[in-house]
Amino acid sequence: MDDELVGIVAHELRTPLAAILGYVEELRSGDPGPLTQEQAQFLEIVDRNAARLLGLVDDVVFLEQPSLQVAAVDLSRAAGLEDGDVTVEGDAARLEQLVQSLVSVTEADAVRVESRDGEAVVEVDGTVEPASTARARFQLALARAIATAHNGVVERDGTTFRVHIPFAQEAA
Amino acid sequence: VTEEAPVVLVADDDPDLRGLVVYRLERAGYRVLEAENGEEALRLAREERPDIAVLDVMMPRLTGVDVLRALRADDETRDTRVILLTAKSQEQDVSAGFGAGADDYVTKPFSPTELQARIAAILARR
Repeated sequence: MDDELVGIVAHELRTPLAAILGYVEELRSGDPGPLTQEQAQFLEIVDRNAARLLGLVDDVVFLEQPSLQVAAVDLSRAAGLEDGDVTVEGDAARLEQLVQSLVSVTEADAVRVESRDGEAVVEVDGTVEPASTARARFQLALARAIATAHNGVVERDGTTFRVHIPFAQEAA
Repeated sequence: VTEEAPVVLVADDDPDLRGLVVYRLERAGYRVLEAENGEEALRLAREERPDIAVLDVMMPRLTGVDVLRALRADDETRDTRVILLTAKSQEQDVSAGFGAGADDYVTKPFSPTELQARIAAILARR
């Protein structure tokens, strides 16, 4: 898809989602009237799924047109660990998503972050091979796209994934 | 002068989103004017002199940024406060909006409650 079309499609998808999310927020606030416990619970589900759909729209846009909100990122924190001393220039939310995607597809039980040979390395020790489901393939594609956008790479060795991210991003 | 509710102009070509903003602001006690395109927004802004206008950027006829520029160029409407509603992908609209004198912007999808809070904050600092 060309860039302009991606933008148009994303806009067309986000507008109805904005209406869904907004009206659900109003209903959940109780202003239009009291909700039963079950109605409140169902609306929470609608809200969560609409938010998920919105996230997927953003992800598809990212796959087509990667863009980063770059800042100094503590990679350990992005990887869901305690604060560490490995800092890269990157997009914190996307790097977090990268690690979460790899953890999710491999059902990983350990993540390590270290500095090695002038680059940051995140190692995700999975317990299973990534499934060939659509969801797993999408998450892997997204993980690779996020690494690429950071001038990095994702390497796979069985159930272990290693993400290499250079410390400084070259100016484009 | 009697104390009256502040007047808010809400301009969006999507009736559902416009209705959402109108609902929230009327609940909050504002008097609300509605426009479904940029031309109507500009006409209402000139005739009714709202305290603040919430303008969708991507509107037919005149965009929200066009309306904002017209308001700022006219001595009569120069002081109308303006919040732009932008799509997430339109970052250039945000810079164009601030360049044209927008007071704030909100990205779609937005929380109606947050929009209400921003309107209140802008009106409070006049």
